[in-house]
Amino acid sequence: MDMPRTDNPSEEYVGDGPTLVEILQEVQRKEGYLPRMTLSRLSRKLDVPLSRLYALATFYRSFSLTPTGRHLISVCLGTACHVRGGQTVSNRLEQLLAVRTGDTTADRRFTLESVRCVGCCSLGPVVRVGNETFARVRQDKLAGILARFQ
Amino acid sequence: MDHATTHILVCAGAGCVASGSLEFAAALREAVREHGLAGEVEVIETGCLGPCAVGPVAVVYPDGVFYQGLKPQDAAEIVEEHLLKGRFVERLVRKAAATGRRVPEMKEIEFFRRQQKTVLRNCGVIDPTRIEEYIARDGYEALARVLFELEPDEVIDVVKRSGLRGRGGAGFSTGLKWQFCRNSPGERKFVLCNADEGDPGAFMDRSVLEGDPHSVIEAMAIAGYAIGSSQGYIYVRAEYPLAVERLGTALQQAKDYGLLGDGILGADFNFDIEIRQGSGAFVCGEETALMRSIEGHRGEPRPRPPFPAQKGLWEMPSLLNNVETYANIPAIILKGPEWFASFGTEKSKGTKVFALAGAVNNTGLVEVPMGTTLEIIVYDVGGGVPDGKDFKAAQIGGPSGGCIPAEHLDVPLDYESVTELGAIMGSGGLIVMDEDTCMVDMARFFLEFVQDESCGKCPPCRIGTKRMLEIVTRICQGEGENGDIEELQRLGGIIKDTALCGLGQSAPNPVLSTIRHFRHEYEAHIKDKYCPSMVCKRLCPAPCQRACPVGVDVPSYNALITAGRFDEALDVIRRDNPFPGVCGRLCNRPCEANCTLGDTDEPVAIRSLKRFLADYERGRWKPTVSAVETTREEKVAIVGAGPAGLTAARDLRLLGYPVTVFEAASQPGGMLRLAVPDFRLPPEVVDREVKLILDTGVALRTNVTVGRDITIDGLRKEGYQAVLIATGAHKAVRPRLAGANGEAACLDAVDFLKEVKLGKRSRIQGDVLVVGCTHSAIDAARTAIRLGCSSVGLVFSRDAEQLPFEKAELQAAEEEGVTVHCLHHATGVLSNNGRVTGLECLRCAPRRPDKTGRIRTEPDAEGKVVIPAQTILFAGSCEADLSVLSGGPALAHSPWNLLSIDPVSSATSEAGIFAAGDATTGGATVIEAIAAGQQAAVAIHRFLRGESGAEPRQPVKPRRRVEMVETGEVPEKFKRPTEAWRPSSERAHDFRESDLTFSEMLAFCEAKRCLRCDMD
Repeated sequence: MDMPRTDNPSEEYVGDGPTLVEILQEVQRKEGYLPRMTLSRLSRKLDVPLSRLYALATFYRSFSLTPTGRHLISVCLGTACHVRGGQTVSNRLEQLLAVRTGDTTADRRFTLESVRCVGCCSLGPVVRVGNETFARVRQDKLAGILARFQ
Repeated sequence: MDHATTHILVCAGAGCVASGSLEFAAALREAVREHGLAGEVEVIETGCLGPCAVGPVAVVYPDGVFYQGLKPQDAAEIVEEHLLKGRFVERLVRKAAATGRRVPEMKEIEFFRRQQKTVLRNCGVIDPTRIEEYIARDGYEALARVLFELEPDEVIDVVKRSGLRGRGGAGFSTGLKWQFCRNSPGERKFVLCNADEGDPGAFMDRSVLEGDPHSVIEAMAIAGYAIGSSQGYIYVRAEYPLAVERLGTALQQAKDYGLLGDGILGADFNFDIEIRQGSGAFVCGEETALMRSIEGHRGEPRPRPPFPAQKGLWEMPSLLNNVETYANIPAIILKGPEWFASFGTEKSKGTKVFALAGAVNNTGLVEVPMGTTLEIIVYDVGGGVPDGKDFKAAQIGGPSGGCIPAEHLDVPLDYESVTELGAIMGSGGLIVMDEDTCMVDMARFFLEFVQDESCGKCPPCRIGTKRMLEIVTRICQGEGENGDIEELQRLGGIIKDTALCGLGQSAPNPVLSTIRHFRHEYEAHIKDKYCPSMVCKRLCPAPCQRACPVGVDVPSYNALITAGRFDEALDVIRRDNPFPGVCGRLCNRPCEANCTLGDTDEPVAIRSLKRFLADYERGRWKPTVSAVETTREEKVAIVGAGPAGLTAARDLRLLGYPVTVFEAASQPGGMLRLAVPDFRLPPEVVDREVKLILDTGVALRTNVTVGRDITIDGLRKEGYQAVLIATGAHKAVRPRLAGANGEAACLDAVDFLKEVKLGKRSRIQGDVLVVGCTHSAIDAARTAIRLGCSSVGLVFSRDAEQLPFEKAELQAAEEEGVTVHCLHHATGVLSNNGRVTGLECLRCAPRRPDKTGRIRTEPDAEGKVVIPAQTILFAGSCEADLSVLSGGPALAHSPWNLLSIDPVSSATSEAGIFAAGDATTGGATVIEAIAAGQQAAVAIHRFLRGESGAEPRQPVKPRRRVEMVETGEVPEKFKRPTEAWRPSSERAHDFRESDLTFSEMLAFCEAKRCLRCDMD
């Protein structure tokens, strides 16, 4: 990566490869979460306190410290989806999967999360499973959608 | 694109992709190839065209025909009809909302006509994954011109002169920002693009990145040249994977073409851009937080100054603009600042992209000149509010913004005017809200959002918004207190003044702005414990109450039953329905069909509980009814003392009007008294409830037939200023059936029932058949059994499943000895020497309702059967007896002899004359008649006060709040009690009521099953 060089010694990653956030993003992408062991290893290797990695991991919504399911369900709770009943969809999914938002099902099939606006406001309520987006989701369609992901 | 003469542009923006546009594009390519058009027709996937709600959408050029709602199976038709035969596919073309006419051409469509596309100039026109197409539309020409013709200061001067202001929210002058950054001393400088479009409800940046990524890249390079930077970063939300992908492709192409990198276009200028993906933190849209995040830290904002132009990314001067701002730059350079400044208002130049969503017909992205009024955007571009509902407000600027109410629809949308109304332009998310949106709930939603997204660094934002959220949540749950509104305003003011960054400073805006424009809604929540929009669950009626045509407060009376306060429970019912005893027996109970418990278990036996109360009252206490004082002068005449007429009489009486009811029969009660058999509705039940109505001071004149003894015009001459016709539908319509009219032994079921009720007939002999699917069929059959006939048969052309009676009732009739002949289509009455001998029928095959919901029976000509009978009763439909109008006036009526009225104001074609009940509907249910009477009373009151126009919709309100009462234990596994009937051997021989009422214990247990949906 072509990063700018700097004379500021406190910023150890300027001009020296990817930033910490990018490293964590890479781990999250590969592992599906940030395993404790990996974070410890990173901390030693990069000579960064573990607390700093933890601070980043808990600040950004897309990092998870616990394993996620094979499929990530993101229920949009942006304004337009809220007005069109996104919350009801979210509640129903919690019921169907028997987990709370943010948790993973026991069989690791799904992780349920809520997001604020995926930018499909005309099509609300919107639910995203993995990379697939479902528009105008009605409660009775949810079971069918889930069945498509094993 | 070399040889193709026709291009089909298929929208591949995220919205249309979610609706399946990629599948359609694949099918279209396949169809094009199958028809051998591969060389002539090219299918191109473009960026967002705008109207996402009707996606997938596509445009066929050169004709410019716009198709919407496309499915893969439509592809072949488009190829065959449009491409081969040259005529557009009508059903896939847009309909003009106003005229209903099909409008094939894109430029004629209202949604596009009003728009002025600068930022979105290439979106939906080019394939965003091919740099050649961008270049073909003058792409990178602006960059070339800047590099070879202009000095950096001249570039900044052009941007300044254009009057462009930041599109991310605050609206700071873009040219000035560039100037500051250029003037800032620093070894290295950075050009940053904010694509962390976190505002829920805004998606224009996403669409630009997906549909025209090169315009942003070109603009950043221009900015780099202007301020003296060689490195750019685009910070994109992780929630926009497609945008990241297209941006990545575009960057690579630009590098390959030498438009990024070292020595761009051979000039002495180096510039490169990298993508940085966000990790899901709204606050990173704030400039200082965004820079911290790019550096790899927690995205927490810091105080300003120093401003990013002085000390930004890695403490070096940095220029940060958002996607939409950048997308304007190439156009400004190419067409000149004067051209750009020709759009918009004095202080807000150019165009603005709005993401139109919510309760509006055309949702999607729209780009209009600054200063376009909200009205034009909502009504002309957006096509108005769907379902004929009223526009209530538009929320603009997301969690940092506020709302603009209906009275400011004419506000020109520019930075200053919007700010003046307490909202902000923000990034341009525009959410239209109709009467179904609760503004308090909306404020709660945004506070919850801010609470969720607050980074926690500064206390005003972290703790202050939490306190505000707690208060608003309390208000939504009905626990609001006096002073809450003032406290919210006080807290809001403090947070605005003291929060560290833009997120916190603007966080109270949604609350303050809804208080400013919709204070009455907050007051309704706090003082009346009522949510006028029916959104806050604890403050709006339960589903059963909403389903009831007269809005009886079911949960409250259930709760009072569990507390043993039966008299109060009846008072709750009587507030809205003067006939609890009647409805406790006859109602078709829409409440139970909507009971929440019905989703998982049997619904609460609401009707039986109502009957229990009415029956329990008898002989135990006297209901509190006293004559109402006459406080008004206008006399009202009501013709017909059925449920509709009497309900209207009572309601008008309670308003203080002198009311006189004219009844042709000797007894009041209408059909309830004249035709419903005693074993289903004992006459004393009707008499009791009618008496309570008369006791309020309603004058009753029986044995007066209006139209014969006195005319309606005569009534008006006597000084009645309003007349309500509620004469019911008593005239049976005999089916057209061979032999049905000639024979003496053919009767109408309604007339038969009346004769029995009036004591004119006490016997019926031989075999009886009842033909027809109305309720009087089953009443007549069960009556005939009791009069001692040899046998009774019910003849229905429908399947047993499709009969409009309750199963229990049909079963009771069968137990009493009635034979049911389903799927028999009567074709003729057979007779011998003037005596009926039987009914000729054709057997029908069972049929399901067709698409229109109508059940068509197709009689089988082979399956002819004859059922022997000596008497045949016809239970067909009934119509109104319009002889009430004899002697004037002539009122408009339908071909079926039903009076025509306005559905809201109950007014007939003549002023001052109203109609309600079966006379306007034919035979309807008793609760519908009561509701019609209620509505007529309101309308007459309005008319007499001289108020014109329709009655505004009155929402159903809970009559009283009854807290949960913990009394007594319900046996485990208690289930809804089944209806208890007297033994059939006994009840088939008398006219005493045939089913039984609940015991106190049963009523208590059943009422306890209520989930109290009104409480949650």
